[in-house]
Amino acid sequence: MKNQVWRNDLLAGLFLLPFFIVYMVFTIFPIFKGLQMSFFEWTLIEQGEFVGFSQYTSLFTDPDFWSSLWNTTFFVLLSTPGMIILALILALLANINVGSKLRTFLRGSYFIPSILSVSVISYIAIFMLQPYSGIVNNIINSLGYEQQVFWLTNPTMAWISIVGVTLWWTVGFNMILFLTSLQDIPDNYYEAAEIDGATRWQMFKSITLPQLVPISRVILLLQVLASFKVFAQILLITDGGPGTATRPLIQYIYEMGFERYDLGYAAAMSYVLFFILLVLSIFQLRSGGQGGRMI
Amino acid sequence: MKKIVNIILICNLLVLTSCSPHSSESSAEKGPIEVEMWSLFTGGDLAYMESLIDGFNNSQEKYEVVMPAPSAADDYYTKVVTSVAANRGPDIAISHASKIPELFNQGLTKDLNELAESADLDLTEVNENILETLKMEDDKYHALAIDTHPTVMYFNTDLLEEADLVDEEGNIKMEKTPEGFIDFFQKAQEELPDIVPAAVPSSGYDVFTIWWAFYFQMGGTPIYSDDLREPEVTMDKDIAIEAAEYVRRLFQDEEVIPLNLTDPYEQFQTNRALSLITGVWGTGVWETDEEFNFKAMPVPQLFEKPATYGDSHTLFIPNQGSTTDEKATGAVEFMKYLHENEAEWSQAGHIPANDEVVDSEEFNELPYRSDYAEVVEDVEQPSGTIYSNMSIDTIMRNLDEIWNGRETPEDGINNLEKELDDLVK
Repeated sequence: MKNQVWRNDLLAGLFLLPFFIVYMVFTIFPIFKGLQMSFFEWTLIEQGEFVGFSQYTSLFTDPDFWSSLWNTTFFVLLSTPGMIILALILALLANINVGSKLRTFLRGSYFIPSILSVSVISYIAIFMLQPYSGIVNNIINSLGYEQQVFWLTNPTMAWISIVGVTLWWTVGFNMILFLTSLQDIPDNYYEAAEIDGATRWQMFKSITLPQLVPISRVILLLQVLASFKVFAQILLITDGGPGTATRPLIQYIYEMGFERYDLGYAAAMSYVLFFILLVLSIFQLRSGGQGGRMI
Repeated sequence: MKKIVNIILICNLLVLTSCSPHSSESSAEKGPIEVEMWSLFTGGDLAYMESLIDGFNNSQEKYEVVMPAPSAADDYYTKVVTSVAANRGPDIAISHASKIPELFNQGLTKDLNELAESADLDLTEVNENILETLKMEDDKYHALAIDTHPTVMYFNTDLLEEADLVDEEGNIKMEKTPEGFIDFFQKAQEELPDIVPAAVPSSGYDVFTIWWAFYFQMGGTPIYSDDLREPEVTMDKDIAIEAAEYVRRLFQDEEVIPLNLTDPYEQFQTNRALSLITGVWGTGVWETDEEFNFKAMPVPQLFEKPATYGDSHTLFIPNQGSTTDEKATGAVEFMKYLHENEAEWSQAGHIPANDEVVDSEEFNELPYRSDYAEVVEDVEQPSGTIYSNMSIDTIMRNLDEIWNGRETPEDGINNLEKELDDLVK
């Protein structure tokens, strides 16, 4: 019997081994390597001198670090509420009983942008948001507004564009999470409420919303983590511009590491970002309702 | 059970082997010696380079130059640097002349003197203005320039005639003074109100090169002192502000360049812009359109001395173990072939770096190029230090804030100076 258990464990271990090897090489090893790099002067090609915590201390006096960290935080603040509220609205729309074909169409159209790659959505966005020739400005002009809107070269408009594009691109995933949770709410809750004479709004407020609280916490955590890691769409759409008005922290890390070849400093900044995300995650997990667990 | 275990073991083995580096090429390989070349060319540049590679491969049997699809210019140098450091880079690669000091400093370039000598290639047969930027502190050449690509002005000749801005001999009626330059475009604006007088994006590279040209025309000093690794910022701040103020006026006060143009090439080629200021690569593109009539001229001298922005494409041989002596010899043979056939390369629009080719009939028979070929003597390259090329992004970003009215020229240039200081420290 013991022998059998041992054999099963071995077999399971062997099945896990391919993933484990890849995971060690491409995730675990770089994590520790990055930590090591942050304590050394390290160019793109060679290890320099040990500098202790000096890269960590110098980044605290680097205005570019703070401005890009603020840009990232600003993106999180701008995008997260919209990403949750819009996802909920879309999930409610996709859950309405409007005939199975229309419902499938709605669900599909809300989710389809999520399957596109970041480069595709970025180039579509750039194309649509061009002044003089882009479709968005043409529509605005045809509605009677004669001026050109410079979507990507005015800091405020650039933020609106980036958040808008990100919403359109990724809201479908959150919608799916809400939708699965909506479908898990037992029908008899609504039946009982109906018998008691509850209005639709009362049912939504007292049944649907409370039932969605656990999944909302999950979405909030995932969304904050994802938004803190924002990089590719900003790089491709505005390249952090105009000036550095929309440059997020990861782009600054990328620039220091791969354009200025200062990998040590880039690694130190990565660890600061890692620490911020860790603290946020712990805080959210701890405040996650009954028993302190949210998932 | 045993079967399953065997399958899993094989799978694991496959994962492991796919992670390990490829074994070196078989020594029994026959046929020509493969020389891998990397470039950042696109469009017309790429087509002409491919044709030159074919020409070289057909001209002899010993070597075969292969060029994988070029990578995007943004990541090109990062890929070159990391791959060469990992001993998996190309055997020959394109680099801008301004980037060579940085690559040399990282120990990634082979010195070419001996290799060139054995291939009977004279590395000094290159325009002197470019040549001096390629000699490194070991007194050796680490790259061979194949061209210069200055910023020039293109004009739509049909629109010039329509606006009566060209005389009977085809000369543009522009007084070459700061105000004359603006007057010219204002006259164009009056005559052709629906046409963009000068199509230049209000951010990025092209407008940076215009500022650069005027800064040096006004007598600006080089951005850095002549020290490869530890230069000081020697930019003349007052002149930098003055040049920035002049360019800002073109966008903001005089409005001869509309703000936020995003596709000036398209506007120019579709007769919606009178002129365009960009690199010489436009020539090779527009001359293929028979119905499109244009002319090119250097950025005019509006201030005290002639100067314009330019850089050069060079070829260098990465310093890595995987480039064997045989491959390096093949790479130098290819350099020699390009050096001798720069007239063909100049079809892409560039000015050949080889002075003999510039004087040759073959080059001078090409239209447009001779209109701006002499400007090569006045080119001011961002070169000489390991920060020169790297700084271009910083300069562009700070200047963009000025053109778009978010910073005054004084504040923008002060920020720029501070950032450049931080960079070299």
